[in-house]
Amino acid sequence: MGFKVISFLVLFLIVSPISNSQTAIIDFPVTIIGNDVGARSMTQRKVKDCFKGKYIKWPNKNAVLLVLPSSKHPKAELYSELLYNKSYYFVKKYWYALVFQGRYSAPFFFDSDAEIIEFISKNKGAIGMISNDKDFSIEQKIMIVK
Amino acid sequence: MIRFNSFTFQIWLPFAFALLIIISVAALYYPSKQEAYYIQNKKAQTLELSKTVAMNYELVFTLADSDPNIVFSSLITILDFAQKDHDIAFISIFDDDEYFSHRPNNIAVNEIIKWDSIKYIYQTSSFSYLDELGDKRSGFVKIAVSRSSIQDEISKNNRPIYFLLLGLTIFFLIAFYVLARWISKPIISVTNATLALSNQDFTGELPESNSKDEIGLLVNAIRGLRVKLLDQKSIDAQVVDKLETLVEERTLDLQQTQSEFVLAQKNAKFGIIRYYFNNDAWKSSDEFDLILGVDESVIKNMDGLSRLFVSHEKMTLQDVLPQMIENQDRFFSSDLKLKRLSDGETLVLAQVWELRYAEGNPIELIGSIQDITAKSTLQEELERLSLVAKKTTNLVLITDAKENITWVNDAAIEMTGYSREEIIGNTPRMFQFEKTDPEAKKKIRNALNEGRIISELEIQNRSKDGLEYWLTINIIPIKDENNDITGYIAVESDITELKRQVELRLENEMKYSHLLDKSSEMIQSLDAKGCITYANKAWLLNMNYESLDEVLGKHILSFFSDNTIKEFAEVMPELMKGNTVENLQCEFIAKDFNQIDITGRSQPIMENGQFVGSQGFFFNVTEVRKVKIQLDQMAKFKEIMLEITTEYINTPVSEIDSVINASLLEIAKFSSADRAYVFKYDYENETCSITHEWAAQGIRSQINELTSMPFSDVPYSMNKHVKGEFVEFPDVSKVKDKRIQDVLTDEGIQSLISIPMMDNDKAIGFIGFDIMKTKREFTIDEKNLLRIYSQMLVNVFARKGYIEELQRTKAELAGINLSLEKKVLENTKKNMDLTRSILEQEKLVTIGEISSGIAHDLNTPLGTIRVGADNVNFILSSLFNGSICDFTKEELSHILNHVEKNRIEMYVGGLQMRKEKEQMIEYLNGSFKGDVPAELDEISGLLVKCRFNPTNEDDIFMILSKPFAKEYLQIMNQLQMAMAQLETIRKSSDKAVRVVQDMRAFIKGESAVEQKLINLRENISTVLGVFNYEISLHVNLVFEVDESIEFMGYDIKLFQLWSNIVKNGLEAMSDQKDKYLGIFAERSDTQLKIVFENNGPKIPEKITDTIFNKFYTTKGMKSGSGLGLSIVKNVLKEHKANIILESNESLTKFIITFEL
Amino acid sequence: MTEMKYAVVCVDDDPYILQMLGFQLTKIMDQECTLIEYFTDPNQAIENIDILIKDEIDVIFVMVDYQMPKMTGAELIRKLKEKHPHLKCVMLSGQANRSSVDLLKSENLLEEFIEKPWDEEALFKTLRPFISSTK
Repeated sequence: MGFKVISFLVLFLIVSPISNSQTAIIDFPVTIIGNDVGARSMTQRKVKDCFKGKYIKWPNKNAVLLVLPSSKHPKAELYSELLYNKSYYFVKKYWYALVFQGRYSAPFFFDSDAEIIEFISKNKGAIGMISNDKDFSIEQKIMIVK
Repeated sequence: MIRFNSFTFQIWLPFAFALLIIISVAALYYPSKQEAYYIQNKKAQTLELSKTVAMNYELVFTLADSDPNIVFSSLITILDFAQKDHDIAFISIFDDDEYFSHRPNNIAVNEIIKWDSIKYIYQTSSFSYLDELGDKRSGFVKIAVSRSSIQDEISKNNRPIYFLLLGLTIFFLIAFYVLARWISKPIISVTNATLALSNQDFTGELPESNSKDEIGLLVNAIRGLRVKLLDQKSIDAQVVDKLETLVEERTLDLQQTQSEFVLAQKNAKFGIIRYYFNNDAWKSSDEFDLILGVDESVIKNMDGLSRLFVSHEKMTLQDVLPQMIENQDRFFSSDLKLKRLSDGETLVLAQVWELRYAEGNPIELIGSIQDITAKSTLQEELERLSLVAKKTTNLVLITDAKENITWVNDAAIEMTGYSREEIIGNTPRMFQFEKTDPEAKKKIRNALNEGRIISELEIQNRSKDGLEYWLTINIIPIKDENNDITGYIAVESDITELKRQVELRLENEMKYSHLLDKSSEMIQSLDAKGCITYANKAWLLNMNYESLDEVLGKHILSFFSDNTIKEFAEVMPELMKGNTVENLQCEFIAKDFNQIDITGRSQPIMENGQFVGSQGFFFNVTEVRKVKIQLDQMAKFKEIMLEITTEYINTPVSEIDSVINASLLEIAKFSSADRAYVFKYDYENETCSITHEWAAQGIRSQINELTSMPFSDVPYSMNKHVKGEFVEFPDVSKVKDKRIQDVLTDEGIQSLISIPMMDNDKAIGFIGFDIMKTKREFTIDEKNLLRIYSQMLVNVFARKGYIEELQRTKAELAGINLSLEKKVLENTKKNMDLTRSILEQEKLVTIGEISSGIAHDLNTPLGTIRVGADNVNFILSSLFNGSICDFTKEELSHILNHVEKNRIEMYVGGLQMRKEKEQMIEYLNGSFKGDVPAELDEISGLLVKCRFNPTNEDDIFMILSKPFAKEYLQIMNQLQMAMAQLETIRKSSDKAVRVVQDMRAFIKGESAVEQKLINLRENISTVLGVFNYEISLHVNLVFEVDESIEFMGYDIKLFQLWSNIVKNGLEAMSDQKDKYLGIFAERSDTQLKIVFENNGPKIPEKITDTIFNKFYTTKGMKSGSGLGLSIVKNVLKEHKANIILESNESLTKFIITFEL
Repeated sequence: MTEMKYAVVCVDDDPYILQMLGFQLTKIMDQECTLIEYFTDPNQAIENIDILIKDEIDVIFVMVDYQMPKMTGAELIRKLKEKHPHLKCVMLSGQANRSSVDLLKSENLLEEFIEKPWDEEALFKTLRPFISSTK
């Protein structure tokens, strides 16, 4: 437990500065997967913008469905950091505000990567982050490019 | 309808008022209440919502157990809810220093922050949570609800309610009004009924009510009241009637009483006077006036009253009245003696006065007076008598016993002329004079002496002025009680007039009988039996009696003829009945037994209705009769004259002589002549000859002898006749001239008359009548008639002369006529020549009209020829100036050959040429076996121009292989052109020739006198040829005439015929686009029928007859003289053919039928 | 085809006239670039003129005879002018109604009038202005 916490903290410490300087997703064992999102590669910027709720529809007119980890997800903090440079707490708040203001529809929260993958597979236009070691179809992978 | 003071309104008003107030209050109260309630509700709601939002927000941050999905989904639910509530302006979350809001309505940012309680209602809920660092954070949710939106919503919700309320209000108002009316109806009707009753109107309808409430009772009461009123009214009417009757009766009674009273007053000599103090005037009864002698001149006041009389007694009104008034006495009466001033009579009156007072002052004085003047009856009577006597127009004298006149009345004074003084004291004898009948005087004396009454004695007196007058005297002795005569009264009436009348009458009677006597009328008077009582002088004269005595007493019958006796039997009864019989025609026998004719009347003399005699008035009309006979004779003569004249008028000249002879007979008979004759004077030869004669049987005729008697033989007659005078010898034996007498006597003539026949002033002859049998004298009238007759004869002879003159003239005229006829014949011939020349003219006109067509027809070929010639000229010159010499004879002949064989077509259009050229080029370029020539374009053109095409490969090859192929082809082309031109020239000249031929045939001279065999088709064709030009323009020509049809005719004339018809047809169609001309011929054994038809307009029926008349034209001055169709008719006549014209809208047909 | 820039149209019911006219016209026209068309049927003439104009060939003038069976020259000219107002028309006639000629001239439908029979010189003189305007 302590080790977990320490590792987490170490990771956190390592990550935080990096995240402050705009943590590169590529550097991490995470993958962005998407379903029929109109492109097989995106820039990191774009990804982040997506997750910030900048786009409502993909170029191919599919609606953007954002998938995020729920509070029970083990990697929730990591994903939040990577995508938002912010803690999960802020993400929740951010997204509440957005939804409250009616500016965006609510994202979908899932407890595990497997659920994320399942959801993304079933829904066109969905996009989410998972860890590398999970099973997903190659088609879903979104290449992060410069 | 709504009267503001009506009962209905008064009932309705409070209701309405109340209703309105209630409604208004409700309307005002309700919404505000509602609003408050609503806001409260809303606040609670909003509070809840804010709490929910706050909780939701908190949930986001609760420890990691919360599932964001749940939070977000509940958030969305909340937001949906909020969305639906339109009153929520915004929901905002204030989290420390951050805020965001859900803005369903896009509210501005500053709006969210501020707190505007006026605009919004706010509800807040707070929340708190732990952030990631474990710090506590708090904030609140703010929901703003717009007040205005709430209000809008409320009012929107309320609107239907308001409308409903309004509707209800109106409905109830109306309902209330109706109700009010219903309630007030009985009252109104009751009111009206009562009003009617009070206006005495019993006729209106009364309301009815069976209810026991107040209204009902009232209604019934009114009904009862009306009945009672009606009863009362009728009772009143009855009473009034009764009263009126009573009043009438009373009035009558009163009137009667009054008149009786007045009468009584009169009788009692009772006069009444009423005097009124206040206006100093009195009224009096008639009796009063009489008593006191009041007339119009009297002024009816106190003063006037006093002037009526004079009294010496102190009992007059003036004396008594003041005292009475002072003492306020009411009554006064006394006897009063006074002298009436009107006539000075003394009266004794009994007077009674009553004085009436008011408030101590006298106002009225009533008086009555009675004349109690005592007079002896006799005196009174005498007075009255004397009044009578005074006034009468009869003379009244009263004498004493000694016959001295004591009193005389005015009439006597007037009559006698003496004054009263002169008369009184004298005896009446003073009025008598010499003429006074002594007998009468004696009678008077005797009567007086015997004391008898003399009555109705006539006596003649003389007035003072000498006027004589007759009187009837009545004298009565006046006897006293002892029967002694004390005097006499003589009453005398003036009968002078009467006497005069009687005298006059007598005179008249005398005059009358004198008249009767003198009258020329025969007057007889018969008694009842019929015997003559009187006959006047005339009667006696006519009847030839000397004196009346001879006939007096004789019965009238003895003077009657038999006929008259019969009449008399009828007349007599009438007379006896009392009727006058007029118009008697009788025959009396005179003394000398001559019968005289009488006419007149007889009237009966009746006395007391009994027939006592008759008077007859007659005229001797014997003479008259005679005259009448004569007049009749005259009339008859006139008739004869009239007959004769009429005969003369109607008789033809030849028979006049016999008529004259006949008339002589008539006149002779009239003149009782035995011989009548007419002589004519011949002044030239100075002879006279007898021209007409009539002689009675046995009388010698002189007609043969007395011809050409010299004038010298009859100088006397001549003399007379020349002056216009008759020659008459009523008695030949008395003729002075011996010679004449001898002549005449020899003849046996007793009377002679001859009448000159005067023609103006010349005696052209005379008419003579010889009377053998008697001596006849002719009356003036007869002579006049004879003169008339002679005049008539003059006229007759004159007429005969005229007629003979006429006949002469007639013969002359006949001669003239003959010569005239000759002239007419000559003229007719001239006319015919004229017609012929007109025909010629027509031909020329036709020619002129078609000449333009001909000109064109000629022009074109001529033009073509001209141009053609020019062209050929041009070609030849260019040929020979060109390269023709470069070719060998062979080549030239080849060219000619080709040219002759290949006449180029009339024309080939440029486009076609070019197409062919293209083809040629391609051919040359392509499948041509030879080389492609240089100048390909030009060569191809030329080849095409020469009408070579790719099939003529050999020819083309041959030509192109020549060195001067181009020139070769050029020459060929030119030659071709030339040939073509020449061909054109030939064809054109042919055309021209044809035209001229046709023309010539048409114009050919006048040698058309013989009939020859005509080929119909050829004949018509010639004409068509002439019109070719016109026909070719749009005319659909159908020419179906068999070429075998031949007949005899004048070809030229037929030309005219066809050309006229065709021309007319063409002209008729000139305005049409589609023209049709059809010519058909049909031949049978007996007939040849030719039909010319065109589709020109319909010829109206009324024109179809006249169309063939000369000079009838519908085409106007410039085209055609109108002779055309008349020529047609003439030609047809010459060919013994006729033409029928049928025309309808589509087709006009001329059908010509030749008899073969 | 493209070489031919001009055209002249003659209409007369008498083919001989057409022939004559054609011959004379060839003398004065540049045959290389001018089409000479002949028609006896006025309707045909109208059709062809339409085609020519559509093909952008300049019709210099139209010579028309007055008296023709199907329609008079005046009518033909009127019809042509309706469609092609700038078309120049010349009338030929042996017997034209003077008044209708004047009428046409007054309406600016007719450019010139030539009487038959015509003189060659006169014809050329009349037509020269039309031709020279093309050169």
